[in-house]
Amino acid sequence: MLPQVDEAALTADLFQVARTVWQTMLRRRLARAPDLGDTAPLAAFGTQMFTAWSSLTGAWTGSVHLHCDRESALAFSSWLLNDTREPLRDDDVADCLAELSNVVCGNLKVSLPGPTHIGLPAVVMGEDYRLELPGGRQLVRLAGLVEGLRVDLVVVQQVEV
Amino acid sequence: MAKRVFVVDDNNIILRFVALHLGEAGFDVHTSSNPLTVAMEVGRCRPDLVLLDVEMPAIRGTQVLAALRRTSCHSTVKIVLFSSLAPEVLAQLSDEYGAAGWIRKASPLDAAALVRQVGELLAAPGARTRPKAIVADDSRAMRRILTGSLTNDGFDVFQAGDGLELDELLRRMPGVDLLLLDINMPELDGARLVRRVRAEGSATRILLVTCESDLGHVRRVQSAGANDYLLKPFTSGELKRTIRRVMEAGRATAG
Repeated sequence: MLPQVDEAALTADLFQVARTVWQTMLRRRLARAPDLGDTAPLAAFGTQMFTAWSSLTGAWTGSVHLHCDRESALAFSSWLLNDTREPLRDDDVADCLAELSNVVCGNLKVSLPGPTHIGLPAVVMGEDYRLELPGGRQLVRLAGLVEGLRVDLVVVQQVEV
Repeated sequence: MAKRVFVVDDNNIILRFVALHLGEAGFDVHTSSNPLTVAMEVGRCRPDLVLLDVEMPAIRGTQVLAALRRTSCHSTVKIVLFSSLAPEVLAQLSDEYGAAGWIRKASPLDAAALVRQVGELLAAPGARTRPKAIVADDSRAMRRILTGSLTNDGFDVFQAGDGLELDELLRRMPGVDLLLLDINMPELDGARLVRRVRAEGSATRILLVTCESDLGHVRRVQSAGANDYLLKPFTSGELKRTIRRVMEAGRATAG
């Protein structure tokens, strides 16, 4: 039997964690964007996308995802590194987003059934892709805005092996 | 009182040349062609400076240097690399292994330059004044952030991206002042590594830096001998304050 999760409480915790991460590490305020619709599809962003996710295994198995477009990814990365002197390479941006997804996931795990182990993050970047996790079910999705830049955060639970 | 110089080189011709000219310049010179007994001989003759060949068949000079640094009673002896390797290589080795400097073996050897350089190195302030830190995190972004902060605070910083790289760095670089350790790196058992560092008698301050919100796991690793932990996310101010606190606590313990 799968461990039960209060999705409303998890949504609130996810937002709280993400807000703390953006405020602390990027020194920027993250706000909810209900007008965008928490179920808005990825295609609404445009074509150049980044997706970073970190996985949890153990008493609860699933992953925490971070989706944003290229403009947002570049801004988040330069804020994280506190360095705007030179253009960032794609691998720098990927690394920054991986770190953000890892920190969000690591902090969110206390809101999920435990004990769990956090895995290494992964990043996908490109155009017009769709990320499918076989056996996964989206539990939570929320859209956030940081200085007009959108970032979507998603929690997926592994329901089938 | 004459300054004492201990010269280690497997080449007896070079040993005789160096001993002759340094001796004529007024230094008290001891020599050895056996790098395997250097630690014992350093303990016996207590030199002001060790002139250490790098490329020796029995053992590399850098390994001898590392071994001397691990020995607490020899850890502050002024050791100078002496080799025909390229200057940029010698500079890198000197920095990496904590040598007081380097002297290149010119061909042919220049006695006057050698005497002058030995004199300058003896007169220079003691070995490294900048503390050494290792940042161990699989995230390149986090390594960059931590390295930037530590460099601004006056540290010489070296990086490791996984447990194997960290293991190699710790073996090559004794006398590290501070280790910032992500306990969730690949190829790493954090608690085992911390226990091993402590078992070797190292005074390295260890600060665990992690996004792991399961404090039970963090504290288990900390109980192996880490000084403190810092949970991500953290501000730059929190990082600086925590590092300062860990370094000052270490100094208080040593004092």
